[in-house]
Amino acid sequence: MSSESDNIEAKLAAYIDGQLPESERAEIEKYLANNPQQAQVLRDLTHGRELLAGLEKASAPPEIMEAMQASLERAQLLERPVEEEASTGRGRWRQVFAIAAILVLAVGLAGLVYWVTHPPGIPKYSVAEMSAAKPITTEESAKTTEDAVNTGAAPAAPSTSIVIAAPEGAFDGAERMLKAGGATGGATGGALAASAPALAETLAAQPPPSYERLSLSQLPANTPAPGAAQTLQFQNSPSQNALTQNLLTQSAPTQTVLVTRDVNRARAKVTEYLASNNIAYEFAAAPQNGNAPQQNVNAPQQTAELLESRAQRGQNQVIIARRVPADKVNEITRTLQGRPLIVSALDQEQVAGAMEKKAYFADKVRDRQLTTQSTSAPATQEVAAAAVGAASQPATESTQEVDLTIVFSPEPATAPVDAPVEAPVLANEPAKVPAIPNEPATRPAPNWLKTKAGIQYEK
Amino acid sequence: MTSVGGAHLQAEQLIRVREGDRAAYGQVVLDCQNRLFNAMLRMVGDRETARELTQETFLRGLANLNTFQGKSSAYTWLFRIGMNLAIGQLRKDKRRKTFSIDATADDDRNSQAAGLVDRVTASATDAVEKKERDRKVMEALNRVDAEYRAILVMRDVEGMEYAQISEVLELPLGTVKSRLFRARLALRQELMEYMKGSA
Repeated sequence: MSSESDNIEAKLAAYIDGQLPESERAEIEKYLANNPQQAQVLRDLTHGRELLAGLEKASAPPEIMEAMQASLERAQLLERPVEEEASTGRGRWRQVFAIAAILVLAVGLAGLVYWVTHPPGIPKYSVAEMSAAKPITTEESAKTTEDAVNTGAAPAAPSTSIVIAAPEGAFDGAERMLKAGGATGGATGGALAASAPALAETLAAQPPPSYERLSLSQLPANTPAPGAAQTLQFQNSPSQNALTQNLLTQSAPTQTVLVTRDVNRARAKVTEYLASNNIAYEFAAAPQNGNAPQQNVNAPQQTAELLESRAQRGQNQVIIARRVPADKVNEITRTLQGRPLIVSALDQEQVAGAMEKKAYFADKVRDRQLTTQSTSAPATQEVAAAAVGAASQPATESTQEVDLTIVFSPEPATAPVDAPVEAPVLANEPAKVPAIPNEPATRPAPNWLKTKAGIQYEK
Repeated sequence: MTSVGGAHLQAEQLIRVREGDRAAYGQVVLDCQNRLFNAMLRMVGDRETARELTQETFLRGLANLNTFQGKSSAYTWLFRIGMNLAIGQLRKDKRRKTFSIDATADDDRNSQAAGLVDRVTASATDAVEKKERDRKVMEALNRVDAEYRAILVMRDVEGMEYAQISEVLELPLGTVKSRLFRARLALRQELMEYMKGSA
């Protein structure tokens, strides 16, 4: 807009406000007399001015003066410069809100990161809490023997029960739990662990358990005498908790729970071993749910077709090996461990971390001399295996025989099948080159197989 | 409008505050708060926001006393701070569509005596018409750009002199007048329907 237009606008503004000199005012009125449209505009502008001037005058609320008074008094009390007090007055709350917002964001971000790195339901560390597992003491073992005698069962042999847990997360796709020890005569019926699918149903109706880290204080304080019954239990997942609970609540002799993608193959391999070693065995029925196991079914009634059918239906298969020499338990276990176990969609680093932690606790256990002569509480598969080996020492237990219940639990239908194989080798065994079934031989072994736990894997 | 003597007194008070007399600032607040609050209210149209802006204006004035040189009145000096705050607030809140006329109602409540007199002396129809007219005017004012609104408030609502407006806006006198004329045109545009209806 040109300066001439600005001048005209300025004169018109002053005209409306009545602040023009008389000469200029007359000039404008003369113009407006010949331009009624422009005159109407000026009348409208004057009217607008009057409307604004006619607005009610609002009074300041008392809060303004009170706030200022408080600010001044605060400055006086704190002997701070009044300017400083003023500068911190209204902005204080903003600073508080800003700090609070930052904290909320930080906490939220931390929670998000934790949630991402620790998915719900897959605790990163798999060492079980030991407090929930009540060790079977010598007295309890004796009572079990007494009960067996009272019920006509064969006298119970000293038993050593070991529950070995694989890393948490591995159990999502593959549950493996080994329990080896002395048998209680013919007490084989109902001594079966629940299958993984049945457990899933059972657990679905239960509230999620709380996870606790293993601590040394939770380890069994008493050290049972050699040969006395003891149970070592590593609960680290809902299914594992239930499995352990089932094992403990039933007078099972020796049990092995194996989850495998190929039940028939695993069963065939075990039975082959049993037959070659002249070990009698029989088939039994697995429980159809996580609660009440069915009665045993003798081996002759279980045809190969029936077993195949059960495998196809996703049901467990059970073999009960009778009077297994204690020193053979380790070999059977190793046979089982040769089977592929399914590791679900679990981050390999999580597995490695779990293994490291388990090794750490194993070291701690050793430090406390809890693993000597199979009387302690092994915390790792290695230690557990050492315990098994100790239990089968020729000098003391070579003549012992145990019943071994082996449960072949099919892989849950929802479990992924593209996971690597987990098959630990017990202690004192030469390490073998890790390999993955159905995988190219040139494929390098994953890092998590090379853990500090010293646990090696074989095909 | 601030009288010459009052403006001089306020300037002296601000100088006293700057020299350490904190109580003097309380008197400045007392003298200026009603006009400043009314101007803020007409600028933003919301009592709570106007209160915050007024309070902030006084606090900032207190925090920046060292910049007050005593050449202008305390009111003008504080008004400049307040207007800058209000314009900034309006720029941040351009999406504001509603407009409160609570000021009228609250003033009535706060001043029961005045309201009683109004009810006695004015007819109910006049009161309703005035309230409706004020609402229309405030709605129209709310739709005007912040810079135009500021100069309308200073001149037509607060009745400030051109020189004071020039000092607050830091604009030449001629520019103040021409901008005032354009601001009035803008308001007329917004009030057009109301003016046609009331004509």
